[in-house]
Amino acid sequence: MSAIDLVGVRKQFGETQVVRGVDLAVPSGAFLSLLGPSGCGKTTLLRMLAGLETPSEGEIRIDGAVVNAVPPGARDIAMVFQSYALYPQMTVAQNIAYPLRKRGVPKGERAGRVAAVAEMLQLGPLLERKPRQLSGGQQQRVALGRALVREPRIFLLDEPLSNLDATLRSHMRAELIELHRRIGRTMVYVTHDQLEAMTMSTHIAVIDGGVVQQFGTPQQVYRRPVNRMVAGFIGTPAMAFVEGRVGEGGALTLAGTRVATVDAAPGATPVIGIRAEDVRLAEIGVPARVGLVEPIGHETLVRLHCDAGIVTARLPGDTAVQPGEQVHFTADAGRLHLFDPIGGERLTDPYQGNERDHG
Amino acid sequence: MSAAAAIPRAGISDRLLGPLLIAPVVVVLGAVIAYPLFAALALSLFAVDTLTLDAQWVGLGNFGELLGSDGRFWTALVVTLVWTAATLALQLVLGIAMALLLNRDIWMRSLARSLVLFPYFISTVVAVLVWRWLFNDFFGLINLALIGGGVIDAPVDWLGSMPNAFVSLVVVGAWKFFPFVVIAVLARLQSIPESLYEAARLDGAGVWARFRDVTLPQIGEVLGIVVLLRAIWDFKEFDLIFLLTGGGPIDATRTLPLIVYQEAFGLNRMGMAAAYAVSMMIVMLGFFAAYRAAVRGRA
Repeated sequence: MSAIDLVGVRKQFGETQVVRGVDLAVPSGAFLSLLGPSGCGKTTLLRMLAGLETPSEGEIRIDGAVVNAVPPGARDIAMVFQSYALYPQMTVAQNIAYPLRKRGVPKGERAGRVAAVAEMLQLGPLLERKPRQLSGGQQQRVALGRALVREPRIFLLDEPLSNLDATLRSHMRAELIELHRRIGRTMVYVTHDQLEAMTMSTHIAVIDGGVVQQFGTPQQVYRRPVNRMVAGFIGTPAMAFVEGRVGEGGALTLAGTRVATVDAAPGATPVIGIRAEDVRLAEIGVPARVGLVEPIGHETLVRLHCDAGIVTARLPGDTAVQPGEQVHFTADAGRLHLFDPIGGERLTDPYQGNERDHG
Repeated sequence: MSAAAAIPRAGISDRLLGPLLIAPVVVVLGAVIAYPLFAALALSLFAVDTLTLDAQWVGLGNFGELLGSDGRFWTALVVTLVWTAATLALQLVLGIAMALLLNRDIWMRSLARSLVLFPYFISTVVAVLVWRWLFNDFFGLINLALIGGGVIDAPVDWLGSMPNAFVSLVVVGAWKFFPFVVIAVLARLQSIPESLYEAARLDGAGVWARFRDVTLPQIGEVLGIVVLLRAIWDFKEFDLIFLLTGGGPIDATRTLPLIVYQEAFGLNRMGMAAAYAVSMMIVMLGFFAAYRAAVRGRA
């Protein structure tokens, strides 16, 4: 059974439609990321799950029961806020114990549970401190502790890592993955960072313009993006989009060079999406001029300017190319993504025979 | 040679420039704060006739008389403290309640926010004249409304009898000065992050728990300053009391500032008035010390 079901959920503030009809079934125990650019409606969606906003239309079910009218405190969910929202006048121990106190848990049991959570999150030495005496990462852990101590059915996390520096962020990412593995509860995680979504989630819902663009595992979303928006949003460096042209016999050409054979009418001009890691330099291929070269050490990102547009290539770190140099590149036909030039949706199975499944 | 040194300074050295720049402030503060303070301290040691300014050294004699037999000082001190505590408490309750209301998304909020400041900005003389008419036993709206509503049978003497006069005074004082509490608290309320309230809701806190555990701790600091300032101002409040009851009936609402006025300009005893003023200052120093101790205890 799914832990959370969203059925035709809509939300509008005045005239503005923020969420425009979301259907989503979150499997029990999943780590779901709601991923999308800012203003896409992902936070509103999370706040509706929390009960902090009421849907204008549609149903929210938790474990099968409709919770639209259930107040936040009675939903058996905990939320970690982007700003942590720790009570500044309370100590760490009091902060963590607060939800238990409000639920009338006896004092003795409270102390035991706070101690257990503090142990799990290594907060023991900090229990008597006030939030302002803690670093960002420590505050983050206290906020997690306050959520954990209730042992709720569902955890909601609203961009909890965005206020941390890069090192701490990757450290906390690992801790969260480990935590999810250990407690096995359903977690819903809002982020605009596709790297966080890819590394942490069991499921991703890519959201844009108030609708779910794609729902699937990180691999599915990465390998088979359903449209240009998803394709461009997931992956660093971003997928390159160039104009293709279909000739006689389904020959797909990129800047005049044949790159694949597709099942499409001659004269069609699909958008070709190419991921940087699928691009290779070759003796024969699409002619291009080398633009920006970014050596990262173990690899080098090279921007290749061809007649159809700019393609980024992820090449081995020892690749010796100079800006301005003329090269040729090629990409595996099976790894090209084709999108409708107008609507941007993925053209399903356009290949003749050479379609490969890398999922 | 540095560029700074090239700026012409009419031959004023650095050592002189600093003191010269702060001199105007020192002169003004000296004239309006330090001089009156020391003048009052000095005056309190003399018997001075207000009209002739004939002064006679009496040492601590004024204070001896003040603390001594007739008990006027102690009665007035109690009246002043009760007035301060009562009106301040009412100001806080009204002010916090109004600030909470104005912080919500209510209808005509910006208009309401401007209107609520009205009592604070209106001149005390005007406000008291209006209130005296409202309280009037024959023509007053308050008596009219209460009789019309069947609450009372006969007009009540609001200002001429006790404890009515004291209650009226406290109410008018609260009405006049609660907007100060509203301004200070509202400003702080607007800076409380919404996520704290949301976290509290998710943690299962109801309306009262959210006020006690989120709002109150957040406005605590500003309330401390408000209480200190208002306590000092209410303690030395003169015009409102002087105009509304004049200290009456008899001396039931006569606070220390009214005695200072009476001594100085009614009885022409400027030295005695100064002694009362100095005593008030010592009490207020006590307020301030208590506030400092409270602040230090919290940090």
